[in-house]
Amino acid sequence: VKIEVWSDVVCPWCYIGKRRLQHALARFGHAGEVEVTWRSFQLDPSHRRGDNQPTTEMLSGKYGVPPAQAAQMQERVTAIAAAEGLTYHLDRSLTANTFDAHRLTHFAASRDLADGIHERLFQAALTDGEAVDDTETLVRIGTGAGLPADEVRKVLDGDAYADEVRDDIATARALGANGVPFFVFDRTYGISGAQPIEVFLATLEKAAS
Amino acid sequence: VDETQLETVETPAAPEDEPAPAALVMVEADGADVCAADGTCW
Repeated sequence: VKIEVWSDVVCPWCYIGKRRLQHALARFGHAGEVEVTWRSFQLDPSHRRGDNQPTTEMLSGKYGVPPAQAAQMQERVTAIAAAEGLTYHLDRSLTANTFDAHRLTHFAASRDLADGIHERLFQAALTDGEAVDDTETLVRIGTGAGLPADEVRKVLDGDAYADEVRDDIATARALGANGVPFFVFDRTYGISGAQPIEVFLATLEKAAS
Repeated sequence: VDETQLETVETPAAPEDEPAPAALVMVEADGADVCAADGTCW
């Protein structure tokens, strides 16, 4: 079974969805025959790089609600993440343009390190409150995942893997994705959103049969 | 302007080597726990 997962690293539901898929795989009898590919999606491709506003502030402005109400919206997601064993600190999360983070993920994938970098990027954005469009931050995340610093820097300084990121986004739209996380099994079955583990498990069994 | 020529220019042929993806069977579509494409997560 080949599973493709479209997500954005600043998307709180995407990390939750990733964990639920992993929990489903842990319960699936043929997990060794499953290949997972992380695909890129940008929720806000027009976001200005380096514009790292507190997410709570952004939400407050976007929805015209007091900061305390925006914080409550974040607390709800934080509680759901906690149930999956994830520690979110959305109160310190920052907005960012994620294009370079996705390019870095594609570079890591070329070295079989995609899952590690994916995990670190989610943690940086959703737990540690880091700006995931800052080059030095991405170099640190890349080297932490096992990539050579000079090569990471070379990728980030140029436009390597930009076409791969754009292709992923175009494919997601062609497949009908209206948001992320978006899971596709063998290009046959689709799941939108961080659905319950049972949904992933049932789809795995259906795809494998 | 030759209208036939104009029409030809404005309607380029679809690339032959890029087949459209087949429609997916959605097991679960547009669940609540999703960040919409417009960036709405909450």
